[in-house]
Amino acid sequence: MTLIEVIIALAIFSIISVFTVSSTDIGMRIKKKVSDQSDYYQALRTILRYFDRDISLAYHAFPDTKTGQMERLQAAKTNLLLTVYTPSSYFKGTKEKLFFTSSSHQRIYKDTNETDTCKVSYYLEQDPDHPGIDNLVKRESPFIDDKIEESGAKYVIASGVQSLSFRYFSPKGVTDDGTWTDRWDSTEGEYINTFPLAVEVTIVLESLQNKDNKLKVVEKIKLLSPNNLDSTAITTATSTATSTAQPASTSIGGGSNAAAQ
Amino acid sequence: MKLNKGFTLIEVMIALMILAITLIALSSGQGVALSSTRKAKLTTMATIAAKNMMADIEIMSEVKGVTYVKDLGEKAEGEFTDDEYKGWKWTREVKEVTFPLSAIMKMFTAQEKAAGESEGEQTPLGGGAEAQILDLVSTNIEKLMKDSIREITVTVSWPVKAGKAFSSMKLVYYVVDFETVQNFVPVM
Repeated sequence: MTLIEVIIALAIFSIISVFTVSSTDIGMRIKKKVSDQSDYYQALRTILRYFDRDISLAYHAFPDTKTGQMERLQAAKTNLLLTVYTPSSYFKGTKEKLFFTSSSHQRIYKDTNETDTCKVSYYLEQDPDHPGIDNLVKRESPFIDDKIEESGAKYVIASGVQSLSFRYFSPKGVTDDGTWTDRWDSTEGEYINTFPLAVEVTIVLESLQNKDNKLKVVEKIKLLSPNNLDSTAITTATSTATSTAQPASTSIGGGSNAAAQ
Repeated sequence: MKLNKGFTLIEVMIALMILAITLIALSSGQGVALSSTRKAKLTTMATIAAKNMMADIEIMSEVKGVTYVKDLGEKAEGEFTDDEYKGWKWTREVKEVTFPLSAIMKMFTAQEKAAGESEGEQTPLGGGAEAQILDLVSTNIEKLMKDSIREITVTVSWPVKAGKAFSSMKLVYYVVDFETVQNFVPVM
C-alpha cells in the first residue's frame, strides 16, 4: 500500500465519518425538537381539556324564590339553626385566578359520599423544585364549603406556564350585546347570584428546553347552563332576603347566594 | 499469481452511493417527523380558532336569542387579526337542514297515491290514505327541521409553502332552536 493510497483511504474515511456524525447529530436535534414540541402541544391539549370540562359544567344553584326557600334559609340563619353556613354554588374569578363550583367531579371509589358537584380552582404557582418556572395548578374538592380559596386536593396540570389569564362574559353592557370583564364575583356586587355566560382563557406556555419557544393560546368556553335567574327575579330575591335577615357570616353569601338545601 | 488487494474505484463509488442513499433516507425521515409535528401543531391551532368562532356564535345566540344564527347570512369570510394567526383565513356557512328521506318519501307517497287511485281499496285505509299520512308526516318533519335547525360550517385555512397554498380544517355544528320546536304548529 502506497502513501497516496493511505491518504486517499483516510480522506474517504474522514468524509464518511463527518457525514455520519453530522447526520446523527442533526437527527438527535430534530428528535429533541419534535419530542419537545409534542410535549408542548400535549400539555396544551391537556390544559384545555381540563378547562373545557370544568368550566362548561360550572354549576349554579340559586335559592328558589317562588317557594320562599331563601327567606326560610335566612330565617334559619338568623335563629342560629344553621351553625355552619354552606354555599351551594359560587363563581369567583379574577384576571389570574378562578374559583367556582362545577358538576364535573368524577367519583372514583364506589359508594363514596360524593356527588358530581365539586369546588374547583385554577391558578399559577411557582414550582417548588424549579425556581423561575410556574405550574398550572388545579384544586378540587367534592365538598363545597365557604373556604373558596382553600382545601381540596391539589394537582399540577402543566409545568412551564408563563402566564394565565381569564376574562368573563356578561350579557349586560356595551348596549347589551354583552361585554368581557376581568373580574367576576357571584357572591357580591354587580354579578351577585349570576354566573358568566362564557370564560375566555389565555395561556402562554414556554418550552422547558428552550425558553424562547413560546405558545400563546386563547380559548373561549361557554358554560353549558349558566342557570341564571332573570335580572328582575334576582333583584327581588336579593332585596327580600337582605331586608328580612342579618348579613351572612362569610363574604360568600351576601345574603342571597344562600344554599338551596 | 498477482493477488487483487484493496478496493477498486467502482467498489468505493458504489459503497459511497449506498451510504448517501441511506443518509438521504434517514434525513428525509427526520423531515417527515418535523413536518408531521408542524401539521399537528397547526391543526390544534386551527381547531382552537374554529371552536372559538363557534363559541362566539353560541354566546351571541344566548344573548340575542337563537334567531341570531338565522340572521347570520348564508356565507361569510374573513381573516384572523391575532398575531398567532397571521395570514390565516376563515369562512362560515350557515345552511338549512333538509329531511334526508323527504325526496324518497315523496316519491313513495306519489306511487302509493297513484296505486290507490287506480286500484281502489288496496291499502288498509283505502284510496291512498296511507300515502296522504306519510306525505303529511314527511312535510311536517321537513318544515320542522327547516325552521328549527341550522348547520354551521366553519372552515379555517392556513398558509403553507410560503403562502402559495392553503391547508384547511372544517368544523360542522348543528344549532337547534328549541323555542321553534316547542311552538311548532303542524301543517294539516
